[in-house]
Formats: sequence, structure tokens, C-alpha cells
Amino acid sequence: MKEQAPARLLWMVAGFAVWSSAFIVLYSLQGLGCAYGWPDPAYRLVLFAVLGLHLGAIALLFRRSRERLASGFLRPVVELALWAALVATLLTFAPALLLTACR
Amino acid sequence: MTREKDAGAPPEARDPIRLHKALTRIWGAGPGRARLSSTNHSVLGMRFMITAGVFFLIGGILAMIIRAQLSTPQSAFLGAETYSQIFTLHGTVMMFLFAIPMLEGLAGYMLPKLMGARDLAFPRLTAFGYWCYLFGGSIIVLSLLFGVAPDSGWFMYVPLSSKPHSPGVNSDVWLLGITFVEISALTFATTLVVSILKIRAPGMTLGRMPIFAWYMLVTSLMIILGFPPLILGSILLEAERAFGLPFFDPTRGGSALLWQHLFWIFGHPEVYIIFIPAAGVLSTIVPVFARHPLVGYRAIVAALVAFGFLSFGIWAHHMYTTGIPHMALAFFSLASSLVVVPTAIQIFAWLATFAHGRPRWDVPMLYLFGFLWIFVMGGLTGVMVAMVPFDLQAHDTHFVVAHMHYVLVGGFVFPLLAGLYYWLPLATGRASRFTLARPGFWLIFIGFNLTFFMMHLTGLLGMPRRVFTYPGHEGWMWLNVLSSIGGMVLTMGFAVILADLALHARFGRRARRDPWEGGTLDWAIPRPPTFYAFASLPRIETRADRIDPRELGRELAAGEGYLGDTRNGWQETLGIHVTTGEADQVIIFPRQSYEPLVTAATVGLTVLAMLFKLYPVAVAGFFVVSAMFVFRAQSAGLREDHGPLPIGRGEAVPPHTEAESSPPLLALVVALVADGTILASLIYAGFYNWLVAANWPPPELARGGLIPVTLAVAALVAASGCARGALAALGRGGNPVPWIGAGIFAGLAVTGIVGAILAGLPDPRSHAHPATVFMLVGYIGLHAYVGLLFLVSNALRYRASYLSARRRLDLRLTRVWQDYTAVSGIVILLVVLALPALAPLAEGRP
Repeated sequence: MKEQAPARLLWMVAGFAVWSSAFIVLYSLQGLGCAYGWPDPAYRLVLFAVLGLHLGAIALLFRRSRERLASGFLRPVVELALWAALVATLLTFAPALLLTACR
Repeated sequence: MTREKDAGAPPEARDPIRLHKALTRIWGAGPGRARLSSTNHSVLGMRFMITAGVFFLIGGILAMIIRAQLSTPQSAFLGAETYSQIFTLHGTVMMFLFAIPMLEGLAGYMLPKLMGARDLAFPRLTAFGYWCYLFGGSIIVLSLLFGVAPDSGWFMYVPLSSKPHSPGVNSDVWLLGITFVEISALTFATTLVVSILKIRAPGMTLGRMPIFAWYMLVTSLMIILGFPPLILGSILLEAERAFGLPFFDPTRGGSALLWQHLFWIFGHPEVYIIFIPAAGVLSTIVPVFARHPLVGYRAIVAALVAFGFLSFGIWAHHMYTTGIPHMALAFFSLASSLVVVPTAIQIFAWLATFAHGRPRWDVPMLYLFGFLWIFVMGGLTGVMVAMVPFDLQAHDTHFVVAHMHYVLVGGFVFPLLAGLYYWLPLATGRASRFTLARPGFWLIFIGFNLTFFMMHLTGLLGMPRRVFTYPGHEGWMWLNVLSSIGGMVLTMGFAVILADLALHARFGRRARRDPWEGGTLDWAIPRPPTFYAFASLPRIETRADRIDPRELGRELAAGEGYLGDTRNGWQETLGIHVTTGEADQVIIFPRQSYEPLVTAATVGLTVLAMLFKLYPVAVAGFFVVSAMFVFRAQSAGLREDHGPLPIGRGEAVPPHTEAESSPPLLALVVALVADGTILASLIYAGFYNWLVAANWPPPELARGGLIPVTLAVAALVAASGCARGALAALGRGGNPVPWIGAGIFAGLAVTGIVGAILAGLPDPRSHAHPATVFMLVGYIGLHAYVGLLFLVSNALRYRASYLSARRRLDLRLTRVWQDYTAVSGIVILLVVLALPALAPLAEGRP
């Protein structure tokens, strides 16, 4: 029955939950850094590190989803959503982090 | 327990007519004035749609007045003040009183029929939501007659909507009225989430759900997460206007831009909340007219998930010109571009469905064509305004007005009309004549493009939005004339559609079952739908758009499915396990009642009292409404244990009062997600002002005090522990009342300590910092108060025998509430302790 627990539905939103977390953390750090004038090279490296952590989290979700989800309706949908989240995280943030941070 | 005549009879002995009469006696809404007590999904869904249609007509008339004013330069038709009220009301009516309620009505009307259920999860809550919508909408619209309609634009930007610049009640009408209406949206969204996850036909697993249910599940969750920031923003702005708490006032540590953030965190997902259900209608219709099952079902579901999230990462693309740094702008710009991808997946899935099928042409397809043409154009201009450099040029011009209408009318009104003509035979029981549907379409299509394509051009020529007149030498005049002529043609188109509907209702022939050969469950019920929808409930063994409604309909009408009998005069449907789709409970609905109407009317009076600044009356109204909710709860549920009840096909499941995963439990979790989003938005507001606003640090810090905070944490934890103790005692067959009494004591202690903390704060009108702390601590007090209501209700219901070792639902709900109150309270108290430490850092901002 555990295989069918309703909480497994959360796998569908797991990837984009990580994307949301990346959005909130990066946007907040960008605001804080600009408000308090954090020095640029270190500041930017921190932002990239945060992005890297989130991409890693999605990669981990891929691995775990394959271990925990049986084949059926949910697994392919979760995989598609994870791919979409991975691409969205990369495209939303990676180019932006190269731009001017505070102007 | 009593069973009526057919109960237990073999299927062949059942009489469909007798079953129909028995079900109608149980589910019928009653004649005349008794209809006002109806809680039936078909009645309420239709009521939502008709009311939304009336508001659409009002919004349309306002649009015609706008076009009449702008058709010539220096027009003396309207003055600036009246024009401001009219364009504000046009946007407000169309967004809040037409689009959202219309999609709610459609979903409420259709989803039980598509999913093989007899009603939505919470009929009384649905009725309450409807009355809130009607009363709130009426307050907003009637304000125009008294010359006090909102006049700061449908997005109510501060400082224009702040007290110094809008001293009248106009903005209050919007803030209070819209918040009132949004109660309806949130209650409806909660009902839909629970209905989709828990109340489907047995066997209907997630992968077999009709695709429209997926669209509505995502939309409802977006409403749950998207509306709370605006509700919070409206409460904060009303608190500033009425009581002087300066959340948005830069002279006292507030920020005008905070409003824009809170509004657009709601406002952009709102656009998708409107579009997604409409796309769901198309995904239901396209396979029928393509004569091929929907291609890419799983990809569409994944795209919807992506859609739901990405739409929340776009809000600041309405704020490109506010000085946000390039890096942050790029987050929003890139997310805005990415959101095109899930939209495209759906459009390509429809095209692939047509390519694989044998398409046939009919009136709904005409409107589908209109959607594709107009929405794709709106999507393309959407990509244009998602690009920062272009948007800087087009911002606040008529180009944006054109884009918005192409997206919303293309993305919502045309699919809605396609759906209208598709489901008309189901709703009325009459076959469509389509005499005027085609000319109506062409008038709307041509009129729409003439009206709004011109606005791209006036916008590119620099015509700003929201101006009531223009000198006439800018080259805008002829484009505006054409636009206004287009508006007239568009209006004629809608008039023709109305005439067509009247002819259909009067002269339409009786429709046969499944006239489009649809293959979904909605066509397996009687036409027009009976109050109970399904005489018996089907078992689904295949995807729910691949069934044979004609054969299935006959079997179900004969009572050969689940619940093919009546029992105790109960309104019954089946609840299922969320993922396996197997029946796990009989849901017994409360009977129709005037209570939703009376409660909503009392809320309406409370809102009016706030509008007229009669605050003692408003406070009294608040307590009366609280008492009403406790009173309403006293008649719900069952007074005795029943154990598993036979449901047909040799299966038996317990009533929902004895089930492990009862719908109210899921509903409370969903409601708490919305509640938590309000809290998160409030904490965000506090930190945003600390980080961005001028005039920080505050003259006096709002310190909660370590001792009161520690005592409050202890009382919160004790209240939560008492709720657990009561539940455990009841589970053992013991008496939970001592634990309930202790919980009431702990709750009273929380409210007392919260009161003491509030009394010790600096004047919340002095600065945004104490104002934020005031609201945060007040949030704990409000939740402790609601917890007390739960506990009083528990005690009363235990005495009235509604609770037992098996029937523990009430106490499980209380436990969830008290746990949330404790966790959120502790988070808030930590923030309250942290803010005074952080506030002086604001001095270090460059």
C-alpha cells in the first residue's frame, strides 16, 4: 500500500519545488547583496554555488524517483516534470547570474 | 438504518423510474423560494455561470462607454473622474467577477459529471462561496450608481489608492469587496482540490482521470497559492487606509512597491488561472472533433505542473520599469519566456490529435479556430513584452492593453464559447440549432480583431493607458475610431449569441444521449442533468475519455452501478483512495440549507459595516459569523457508528465519518496551505520593507519581550498537546472533554499573552516595523481564537453523540489546526524576536 500512498503525488511537484526554492534564495541573496554592497566576485560565486546546489538537488530527485516510483502513470509524468524543472532552473538562472547584479 | 423499496433487490428487479423518483426526493432542490437553500452542484454551478454572465454584460457595457469616450479626441462625453471609475470597474468586473467565477461555475457544474460523482465535496461551502461572490460583486458594481466606485485602476496601485490621494471610500470598496469575493474563490478552489482527489468514480486512477480534472486541479492549487498574497495586500492596504498602519507609506518605513509585488504575485498567476481551465475545455473538445483520443496526455499533465510553477516566477515582468536591477529582471524575463513552452506543448498536442484523427467541422470547432488565431497572436506579443528592452518602450501603453485582451479574450472567452456550444445539449436537454452561432462567431471574431489590433498601433504610437482623452494631433484618432467601431461589432456578436441561446431554449429539439459521440462520463447522465447526476455510480476500467456513454448511461440509470439504492434518505456518493482509485468511504452530504445564505449575508453586513466605518458593528458581525460556523457544525455528521456499508458489486466501505482519509481532513490541509501563504506573504512584507524601504531603522523597536514570548510558546505547545490528548482519549473510548477543557484554557492563555504583547508594542501607526509585528502577533491571536471555536464545537458535538472512538474526525481536525497554530506561532515569535536585531542593520544600507 505504501507504493500507492497519496503523498507520492508530491513527486510530481518535487522538481519545480526545487526551482521555486532556487528562485526565492537567489532573488533574496541578490537583494541582500545589493542592499549591503557585498563584494562582487565572492557574491557572484555564492550565487552560482546556490544554483549548483539546486541543480544537484534535482539530479538527486531523478535518482530517487527511479528507485522509489514503480512504473505506471506517475513515473513517466514525474520524469517529464523533473526534466522540465532541470531545464527551467538552468535557463532561468544561469544566464542571469552573468549580468550586472545591482544596477 | 432504513432501506427503501429497491434496496437489496437483484439488478434485474430494479425499477429505474422508482429509483429516479427516490433520488429526486432526496437530492431535489425544492420549488420556488426553497431554491435559495440549494447546495447542489448543478444548481450552484449554473448560478455561478449565469451571475458571471450578467457581470460580463455589465463589464461589456462599461467597455462600450470607454470606447465611446475614446473614439474622438477631447470628447466631452465623460469627465476624468467618471472615466477613472468606469475603466477601473471594467477591469475589476472582468477579472474578478466574470472570469474567475465563470471558470469556477463551469468546473463546479462539470467536474462531478465528468468524474462520476453525485456532487462536489462540500456543498454548503460551495453555496456559501456563491453568496459571498454575489454579495461582494454587487457591492462593487452598485458603488458605481452612487458615484463611489473604485477609481485607481484594477490593480489599485499605491500611492494613488492610498488615503492622501484617494480620500473617499472608492478604494475601500475595492479592497473590502474583492476580499469578500475572494473568500468565494478560495472556498471553491479548496472544494475542487478535494473533489478531484477524493470524489471520483471507483477505478478512476489518476492516469484515467478526464484531462479537464487535471487542468482544474492545477488551477485550484494555483488559486490556493496565488490569491492569499492579494488578500494579505488588501488587508494591509485597508489597515493603512482605515487605521494608519503604514505598510506602503515611504515616509514611515513602508514601500509603495511592496503593493506591486503582493498584487502581481497574485496577478500574473491569475492570467494563467483564467487560461488553464479554458485550455482544459479545449483538451476535452479537441479529441471529440478529431475523433481520436488526446495525444500526449502525460506530457500535458507534466506541462501543467510546469505551467503552475513558472507562472509564479513571472510577477515582476509587470514591474520592469520600477528600477529592479538587471540580474533580477533577467530572472523574470527568462521565466516569462520559458512559460511559452508548456503552452506550446498543449497546442502541439491538440494539433497532433487532429493529425492522427479524422477531424470533423462543427460550431465548437469554429470557436476553437478563433481561439488559436487570437491566442497565438496574444502569445507572440506576450513574448515581445517579456523582453525587457521592448517592454520599457511599450510599458503602460495601449500595446499592453491589446496584448492583455488578445490573451484573455482569446485564451478564455473563445474556448468558453466553444465549451458552451459543446455542452449546451447536456445542460438544456435540447439539440443545438446553431442558426445564429456562426454569424455570431464572425461578428465577435472580426469585431475583436478590429477593436484590439488597432490598440497595438496606438500603443506603438505612444498612446498611454488609462487616459480619458487626447488632444488629437498624435495620429491616434482614426485608429481609435476603428477600434470603437470594432467594439460595436463585437457587442453585436455577443448580442447575436444571446439571441441564439434564447432561440435554443425556446425551440431546440430534444437532444439524444451523447450527440457529439464524446466518450466521457458527462454524456452518460440524463439530459438536462438530474440533481443527483448519476442514478448509480460507474466503475471505470479505462481512461475516462474512452468509454461508451450510451451503453453505460442505460446501465447506470437502471441502478446497476455503485450506490444503486437509496438509504436512510441520505445524499450519498463514494469517496476513493487518491492514487489507487478504489472506494474507501461513503460520503454522506448534509441536506440543503439556508445557513450558507444567512452566513454570507451576515459576512456581507460585516463588510458593509467596515465600509461605513462602523467598526463596533463589524466586530459584532465577526463574532456572530464565528458563532454561525460553530452552530452550522452541530448538524453535520452521524450520531452513531455504522461500520462498513454495502455499496453494491459486493463491496462495503465505512461512512466518511469513520474513514481514515475523510475529505474535511484534506480540505483543512489545503486551507492551511492558503493560510500559510498569507503568513509567508506577511513575513515577506516585513523583510521587504526592512531591506528596501526608506526611513529605516524605526524610531522605536517593537520587541516582543523574551518572557511573554516564552510563555506564548509554552501555551501554544500546551494547546497542541491537549488536542492530541483529546484525540487519544477518544480513540481509547474515553471521555475527551477534560482534554478539551484544558485546551480551551491553553487557548485562552495564548490570547491573553498575545494581548499583552500587543499592548506593549510601540504605536503601530508610527512605522512599518511595529505595524508588521502588530499584524504578525495578531495572526497568532486570531488562530488561537479559531482554535477555541474548534474546541467549543468539539465539546458540544461530543455531548450530542457525534463523536465516538470510530468517529474521531472532529478531533483530528482540531489537532491539525492546533498543530498549525503552534508551528506558525513559534515561527512568528522567532521572527518577532529577530526583527529588532535586524532593524538597525538597515542603517548600513548604501
